[in-house]
Amino acid sequence: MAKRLSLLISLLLLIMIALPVQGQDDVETYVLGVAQPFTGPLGSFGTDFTRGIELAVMQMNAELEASGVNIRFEVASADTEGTPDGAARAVQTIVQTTGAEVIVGPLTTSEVLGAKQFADENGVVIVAPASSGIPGAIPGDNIFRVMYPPDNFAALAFAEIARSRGYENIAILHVDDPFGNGLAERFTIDFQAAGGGEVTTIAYSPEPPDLSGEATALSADVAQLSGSGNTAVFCICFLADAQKLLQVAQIDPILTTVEWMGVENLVSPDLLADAGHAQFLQSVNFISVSFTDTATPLTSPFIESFTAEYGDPPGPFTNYAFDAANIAMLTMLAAGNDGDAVTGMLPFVANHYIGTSVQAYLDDNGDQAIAFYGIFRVADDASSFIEIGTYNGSTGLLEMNE
Amino acid sequence: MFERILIDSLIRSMQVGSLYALMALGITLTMSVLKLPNFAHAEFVTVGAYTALIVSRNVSTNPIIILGLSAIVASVVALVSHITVFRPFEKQKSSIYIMLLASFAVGLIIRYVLFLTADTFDLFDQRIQVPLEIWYRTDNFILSNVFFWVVPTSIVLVIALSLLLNATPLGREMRALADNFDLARVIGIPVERVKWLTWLLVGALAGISGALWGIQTSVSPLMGWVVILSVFAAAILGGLSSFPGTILGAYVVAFSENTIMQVLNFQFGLSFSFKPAIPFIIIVIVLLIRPEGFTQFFKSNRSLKR
Amino acid sequence: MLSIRELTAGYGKLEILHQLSVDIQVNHMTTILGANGSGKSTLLKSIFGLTTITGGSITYNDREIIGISTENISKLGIAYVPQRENIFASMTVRENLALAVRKASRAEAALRIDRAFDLFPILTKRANQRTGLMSGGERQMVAIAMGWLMNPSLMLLDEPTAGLAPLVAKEVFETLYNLSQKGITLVIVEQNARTALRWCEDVCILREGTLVYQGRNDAFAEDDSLLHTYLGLLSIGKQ
Repeated sequence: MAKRLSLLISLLLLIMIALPVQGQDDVETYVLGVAQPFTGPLGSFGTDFTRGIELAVMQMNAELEASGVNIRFEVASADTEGTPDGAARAVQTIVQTTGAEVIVGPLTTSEVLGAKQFADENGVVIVAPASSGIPGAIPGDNIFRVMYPPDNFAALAFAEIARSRGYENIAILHVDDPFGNGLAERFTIDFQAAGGGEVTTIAYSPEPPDLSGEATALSADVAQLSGSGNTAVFCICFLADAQKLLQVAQIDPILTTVEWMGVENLVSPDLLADAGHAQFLQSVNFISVSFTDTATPLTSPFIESFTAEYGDPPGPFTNYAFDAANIAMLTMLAAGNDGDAVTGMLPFVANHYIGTSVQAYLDDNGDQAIAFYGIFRVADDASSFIEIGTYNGSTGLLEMNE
Repeated sequence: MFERILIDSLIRSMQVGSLYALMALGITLTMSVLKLPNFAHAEFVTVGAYTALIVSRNVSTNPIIILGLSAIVASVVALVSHITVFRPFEKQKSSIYIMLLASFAVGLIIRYVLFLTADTFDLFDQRIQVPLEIWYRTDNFILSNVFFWVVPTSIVLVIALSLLLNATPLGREMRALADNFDLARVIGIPVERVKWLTWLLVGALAGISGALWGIQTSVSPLMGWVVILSVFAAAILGGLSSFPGTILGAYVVAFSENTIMQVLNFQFGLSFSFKPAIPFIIIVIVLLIRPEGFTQFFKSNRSLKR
Repeated sequence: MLSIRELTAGYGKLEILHQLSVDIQVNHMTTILGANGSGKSTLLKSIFGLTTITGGSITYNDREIIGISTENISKLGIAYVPQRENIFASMTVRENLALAVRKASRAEAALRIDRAFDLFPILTKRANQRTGLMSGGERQMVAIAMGWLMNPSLMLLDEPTAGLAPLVAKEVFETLYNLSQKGITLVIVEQNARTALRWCEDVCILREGTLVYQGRNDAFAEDDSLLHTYLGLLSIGKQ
């Protein structure tokens, strides 16, 4: 008897919850899919990104309601677990359970490529806020990387820096994933096109327990290259891997004698937390580039409303998720909840969007074509990185201040 | 150049092998005394490393204090996982497969607690505050203070552990449990107490090896998980029961991952991306050719089980 | 001294002993006979809490012992020598014996182990050998010595002569007889009925989990047909 009663009560509750939605059947709801890593090493990024997207949706819905427009956006999110397979599953789940045709996310290039096949085959649009790996630069697909420029600009920037610093040969250590392989390959082409000499590469598998063997091999590469000219090291790796590398490199008799370049991930105070590492990076004249945010009229309103909503200021790159969500929603307002129409309209909408830090302008691959990089070195007190120049990806112009 | 690479990688094999030995001995102990293939061992290692990180930042940078506190915290975590998870499963007489899955679950829970902690206090990829120093140098190789912490500590601990097992009443009781659990109960050995002490010991070993591994590299919530495969390979080489076999196994795995890998890379250009495959290859070869590992080489009374 | 009342026990859902009642007299050698599967070993295991007990009682010196954990039963002065795996095979004889006197002080332990070597001279030469490498008879001696070292007043032995050559089996029984002369009550589960009847004055016969006979061994000496009645021809055992 009690069981039947509780069943009845649950049924009633269910109906009560469902009723208000039914009552407003004149309002059309568009589902905006969100595929981000919520678990795994990238979990904190995914959570913060999702907040940025939800903030954009909230603001959009408030405007739509105030203006009497009968369209509302709803977020449906799924966990990519930070892996290609997970991303494919997440996108598939969202699409099949909610009918969403536009997905904001995922985070990394590997995840984006993992979800690509399903998206292309099913006319689902993927708007990735922060993926930059070169293998993702494909013309005519359903993937748009709207705010953050792809790494081919970074490759050009590093080739230009290497040329201006007079490096004749480069020994590369890179992570064996789409990001690392793409950048290493592209850099080699750009560097040699600009008159550079020999380039050696050592690839290591992602999330290595340690990198001491790779460091020794790198040291051997440098010793060999140095015979034919001024040689530098180019480190294409993640922060944690760089720490493991530096732990060995800082006492290596050869690696301490040449100059070093490193990718954007390494421009972080965390890399300087260890005094030995900071001192080493200073002594090898470490140089890196980082995509620079310029302020737009949207910059501080975004930070303020995000902080007001969630208590904490947005983490790194979260504003790109906010921007990506806005571009996706604006396109859907114009094209409807229709993947193919969104694919057609999105470049036009994106190219007219201001952005919270930089304007969007998409190239033929659907990737951001505006790329301003700052050039950084370790400050004299070894506690932070300071900007010493800029590189404009659109014009190929390198300007050094020192 | 080849000579330098060879010597360098041999030193590294020794350093990494010593740490693998410490971790693998913990797995062998849990496997033989507690009858549990404990995958959560990886996370005990990580807990030790995180303790070391926090201690080095807030309490002391004296390595002995760091190692001591890491051992204590990790052993408490190990004991708590026994009391809250493994013992209830034992009471239900669960099969070894269920216990294995339970250990996976315990590992996952601890790992994600560490993720949350690291996220809250910004402790991703941090360095334990023990600066690197060069203590010995020749033209061909360099020995750092880390080497002198890792290798002698491991050797001393391994010797202490064998003394404990072979020359103390507790060690004898642990071996009795490993050998014949029912008989141990029949002759009145307080098996639950021996199990508790074993967990404390296993946790302490994991904690110390985690702290040393962290000093050698850097600390992240996944660090234990990424080495556990190599460590299991070492333990499987030891037949999951033989003590000296496990130690030999640890050095064999470290030697394959470092020296052999290095030489293959230098001579034939084999990419370092193949390195993670090495423990897999070792496990497959061992299981195909010698499922009992090195046990047969050590038929003395020192092995934990026939 | 040991009194078992209406004991029902088995393994999990499999019930082997059905309301079995039996009393063991002090200072006697009692043998428990019965065909395979009659519940002889299960009875000993039940006393040590190694089975699933669903009913009845086991009292030792008027104290209920059902529910006392296996590891605490030896403290009451009962020792149990299982049939198989009754030694720590990876350890030496001395280590095995040391485990049996683990509660004693170092000096006392050494003294008692020396006395064990006096009582079981066959083990003296083998003190530092791994028991797993020894012969069946020697292993049985180690197991019995371990039981004796626990200072029991009651010793339960599960087929101590299984798989042993007749001469060795005789040696084992001689040793057991010596122990009983020292005032230890012995309960011996046996397959070999004739050998057991020669040495043990009390006889219990089980069939399908219940007691079918209890009495003195002299009854059998006079009349062989009793054996046939209770055990059937096949399990009498060879001469």
